[in-house]
Amino acid sequence: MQFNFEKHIPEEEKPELEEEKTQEQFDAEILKEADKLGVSLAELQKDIESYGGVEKFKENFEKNYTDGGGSTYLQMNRAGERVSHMKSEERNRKSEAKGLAVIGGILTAITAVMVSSINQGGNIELENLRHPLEILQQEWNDGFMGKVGVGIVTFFATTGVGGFIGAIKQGIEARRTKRKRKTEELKFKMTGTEVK
Amino acid sequence: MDTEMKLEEVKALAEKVKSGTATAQEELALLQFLNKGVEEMRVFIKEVMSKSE
Repeated sequence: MQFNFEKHIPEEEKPELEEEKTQEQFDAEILKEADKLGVSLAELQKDIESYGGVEKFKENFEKNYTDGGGSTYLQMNRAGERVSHMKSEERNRKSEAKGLAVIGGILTAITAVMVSSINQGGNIELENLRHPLEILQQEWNDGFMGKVGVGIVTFFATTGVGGFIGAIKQGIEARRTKRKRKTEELKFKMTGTEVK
Repeated sequence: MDTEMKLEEVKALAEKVKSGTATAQEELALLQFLNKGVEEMRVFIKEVMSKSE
């Protein structure tokens, strides 16, 4: 038996179902973005490898952008260099500040997406990745931004992208299923007919 | 992402996503930020790696 739900839905309930259509469109875009993220992260891994690996990044980053202790400011190695390369140093400072802000944002965002996916999908693989990210977040909060810069590059270079993105998508699907069930329950409540 | 304010916006959005109170539109915004951020990160990594001294 088929129902015309629109006909049976009271006016005050319609906006919720209309919003549902929009949510579905957003979900489709989210899945596209998740795919795009998978491609970007795979390219990031290739970049790191082709430029010389995590150790090279760590060495260059600490030498050129930090005081060697993971602090956020640049300190040149020799006094002479500091004077003669002042302009370069200033440029490095700006670049470093921007780079670290991006890294901090990425860390915050990726942790949130991961926690959300774990909560919605209960994925074990993501649970294993959550801890290192939470440690990095704590170090970021404590002000060791340089150390976090190296940490996040290491994380992305060594984490299996396919499984990670797959788990995120699993979380998105779990949420869609939950919402669909809720909508069907609402329809059942209003029509008294089970929806197959 | 150039300003501290934008980082604060990301944090606020991230908290909503973590707590499960974000709308699909907000989740999408966070993922779009993530994609843009990863692209910027690639540029920064290239810059760091290309420094020889």
